[in-house]
Amino acid sequence: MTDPLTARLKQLIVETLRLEGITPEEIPDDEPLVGGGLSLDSIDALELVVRLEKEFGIKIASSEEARRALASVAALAAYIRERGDPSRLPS
Amino acid sequence: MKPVVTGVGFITPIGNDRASVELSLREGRHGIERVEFLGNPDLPVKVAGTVKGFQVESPRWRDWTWPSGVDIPKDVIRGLAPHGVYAICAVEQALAQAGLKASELAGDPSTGLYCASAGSAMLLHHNVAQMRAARGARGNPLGVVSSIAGTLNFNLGAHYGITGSVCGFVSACASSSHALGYAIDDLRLGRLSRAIVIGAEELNADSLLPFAHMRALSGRADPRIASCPFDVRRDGFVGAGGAVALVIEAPSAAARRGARPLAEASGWGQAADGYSIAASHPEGAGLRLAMERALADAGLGPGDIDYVSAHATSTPIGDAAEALAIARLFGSRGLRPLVGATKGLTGHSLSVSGVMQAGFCVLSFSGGFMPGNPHLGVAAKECEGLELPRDTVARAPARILSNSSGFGGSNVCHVFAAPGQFTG
Repeated sequence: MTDPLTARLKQLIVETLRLEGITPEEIPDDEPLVGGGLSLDSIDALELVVRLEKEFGIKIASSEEARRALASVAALAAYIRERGDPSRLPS
Repeated sequence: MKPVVTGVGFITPIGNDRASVELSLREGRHGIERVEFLGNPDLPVKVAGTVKGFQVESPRWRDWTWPSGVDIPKDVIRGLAPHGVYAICAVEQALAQAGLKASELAGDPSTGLYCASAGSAMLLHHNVAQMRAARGARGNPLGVVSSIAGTLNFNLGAHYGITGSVCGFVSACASSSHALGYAIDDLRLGRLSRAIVIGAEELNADSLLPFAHMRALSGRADPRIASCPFDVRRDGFVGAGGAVALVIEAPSAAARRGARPLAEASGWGQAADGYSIAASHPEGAGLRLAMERALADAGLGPGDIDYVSAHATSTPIGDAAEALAIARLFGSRGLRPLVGATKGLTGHSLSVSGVMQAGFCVLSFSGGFMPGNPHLGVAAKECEGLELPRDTVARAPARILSNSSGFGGSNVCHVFAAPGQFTG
């Protein structure tokens, strides 16, 4: 069964970046988000970071940290679980 | 040598292609509609000249839509302001009419780009707010190039691979007339053989409402009469958005390509009021001198002009000044060319104004008509001696004088001639 946070993140990625021709379910858990099959670059990543901060009450302070957090959907989920506001996590 | 216009593109409140713009001008169809900004129905701004077929109100480019048929790749659109989307659509039309492929511009050192826009207050505000929210630690990397005045030249210059010259003009509502003037000069000086001239502005709360606070806007709610240049009831301009692009070429360059000249840019002139930050000189002194200089540059006299495309935006002071300047220049010689103010139909799209009028002049030549003043009820007393037809006159002009005025007292005038009437 898909983890609700992972599913929510995939949905947010598709919504925020208006990805066409791909559904949230088709985004792999472990593929690099930037420079991977989604053709996202660092400018897209910044848009995503702004949205994620709002949604989960996290603060991704540096571009180094953003790179780590956005390594993959799985990495992002782990990052948010560790630092996010627990009340904002989907259940 | 006098450059010729070989292509025009329109994204305007009265149409997004040449045919619909021409129909609107012929039939006096306005493009002004009711608007509400910032969810505040009490604002004294009730109408605007809206651009139809685009959704560019959001500061996020991913929300934008535009008419199909124009491909704007992701790496291009995210550097654009909303008015940049209008601009690319207008340039594509102009290139198509001129028979030019975008690939022919890229890397050609004889092609220049001359732009006019006020930038995007909306994106500037959005990006700065985002930067401040992150306490300066983070900002949109494309924030500067998408929002400051110059955004059009940065983006279009890169997108089309322009190498002859890339420049921008910021003389407010005279900007695109300046852009056209200096493009003409660069062609005449032999520096270039071809230029794209473009003016574009977006229409949103951030672009328009500051003009309400200068008391420059009409407070009227009826789109049929809110913009009524030269009328006694005029109470300010109606804001508008849009983009108009021109391709101008040295006649020899156009002939080599087999491109048909649509009009000649016969001459231009400028002069300033030296009077006020924002208001026109009460008797239009700078505008009159600019008109005289444009005619002199064209090697023509006032008697050679059939039609004056007025800048008149429907403000009490500006229209009066222009009416007096036109009346002195022509009336003092017993001349009464037709005078038309198309902002009654379009509203006032600020820096686009000059190239929009230039584009309308091209349509007037090819279509054989002169736009009138369809919202004119009772002409103001300053208009005494002016020939102000209400309806479009179905007669082809040979030569047109087109006026622009901007903040700071900038006045720029152009003379255009119809095919068969060229002065060069």
